[in-house]
Amino acid sequence: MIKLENVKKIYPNGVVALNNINLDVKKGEFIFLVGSTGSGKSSLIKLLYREEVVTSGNVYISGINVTHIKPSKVPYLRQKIGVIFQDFKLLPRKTVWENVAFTLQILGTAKEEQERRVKAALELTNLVDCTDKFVSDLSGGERQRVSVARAIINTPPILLADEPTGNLDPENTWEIMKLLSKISSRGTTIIMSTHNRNIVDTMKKRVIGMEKGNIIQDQEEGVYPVGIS
Amino acid sequence: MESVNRFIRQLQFTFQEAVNNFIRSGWMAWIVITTMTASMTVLGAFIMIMKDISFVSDTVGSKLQIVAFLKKDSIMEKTQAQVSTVEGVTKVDMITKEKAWSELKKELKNTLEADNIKNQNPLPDTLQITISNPKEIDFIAKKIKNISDIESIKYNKELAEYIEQVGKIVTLIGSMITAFFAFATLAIIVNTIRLAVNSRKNEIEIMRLVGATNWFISLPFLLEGIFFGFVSAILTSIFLVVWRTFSLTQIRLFLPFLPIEEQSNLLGDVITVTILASVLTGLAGSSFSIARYLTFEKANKSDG
Repeated sequence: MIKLENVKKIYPNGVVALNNINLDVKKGEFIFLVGSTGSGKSSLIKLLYREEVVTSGNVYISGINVTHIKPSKVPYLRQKIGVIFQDFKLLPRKTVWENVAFTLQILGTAKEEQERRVKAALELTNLVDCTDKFVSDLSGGERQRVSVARAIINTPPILLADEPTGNLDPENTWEIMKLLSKISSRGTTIIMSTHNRNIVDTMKKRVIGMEKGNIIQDQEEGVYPVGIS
Repeated sequence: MESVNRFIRQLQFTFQEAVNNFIRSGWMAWIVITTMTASMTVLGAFIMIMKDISFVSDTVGSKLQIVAFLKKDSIMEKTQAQVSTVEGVTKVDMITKEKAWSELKKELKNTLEADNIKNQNPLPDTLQITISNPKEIDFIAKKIKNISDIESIKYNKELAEYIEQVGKIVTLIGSMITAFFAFATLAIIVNTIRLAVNSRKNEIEIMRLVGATNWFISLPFLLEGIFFGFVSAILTSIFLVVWRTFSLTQIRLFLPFLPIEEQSNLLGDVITVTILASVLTGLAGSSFSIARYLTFEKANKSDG
């Protein structure tokens, strides 16, 4: 489903974010990317939805090399990948319904289909009561659930979550993790970066530990690596 | 067929998006509209003032006439027909020597002892010639003078030159100030719209991250720019009508001899130009702002 071959990412200021990364992710896998700040987790995720471009190496998504696709083709790649951000990245002047429906509107989905899918996504994320609220009227947990609903609305085969629980309290953190587990059980491939040891150790999924741009651990049903904060 | 339907739905959404954004813009929309309206009103009012001055100058100029005195024994109708064919001549009035003599006698009743010259009318037959463009008076006068039956001609060369000079100065200064105003207006409006777009750069970024294409992001902004322009144009038109009505009333009151009211289509023309200029400026402002932002994003990408 996802393959990284000898991927190197060096930022213009000389910082080496990723150093010769090789990674294979199978369809339906749930992967935790763990590591301290600056270890390269976010850079790796950004390469997958082409927010960043590799310095060298290749990135394959569903068998397609997305390393050097034209900027004009990037939106079509992103339409096939759901992304959840730590800071939610919701459109502030839109209601919950409009934020969730936005991806479908980009795709030109028919109105009835939009209604059906948004309703289902809001039910899954327990946001039916917030349908007409604006983002500013929501709590942090609710905002992140809107972000999840928006990410899955188009039933993407891949879901990327960049520290989705980083801004949430423990109760909301587990709400989100339950949601992601449910989404994973439907066959969606999930890659989630996190600092939360408790989540990683509890969920027993594949754990990839990173440090200074290198993969230092790759464990099936793993736990949070020792020595990484 | 499905792809066409999809495209139509996308267009419908972008239009709806533009309307929603416009309504939800709140104070930012009003800043843009107020700025556009104020700038366009000043520009429109100034254009009307310049057109009025130019019109007055032309109208006064068009009252200038050439008087041609005919040779003895010449046939007046034949000469009138000849003069009428000269390019730039709009009207030729015949004044027979008898008519001129009787009028002169009436005018000078108390000062001239007309009986002294009794039946010896010293006046020649005369043609009063009106021309279309006072700037060409010299050229036309020369042509008329060359006609064989014309003895001599008379016209106020100094006044013609003075009017021409005033006309040139008004046109030059007017064009310069109008160009300056137009440029300043464009700069103010484009920068205000740019501020409005920049205040939503996070939204643009989020749209890009969830897979919106550049045209899908840009179109609502462009439509919004057109809405800004259109609403501003309506407000500007109202202000210009009020201004025109007020200024005409004042001119009629204090300068009743000025023929400004004769320009019945001026207000309509200025409003038409203002509407077009507002809408195009709104569109251009949004277009520059959004394109710059999307280009910047692309440039950022290639850095990696």
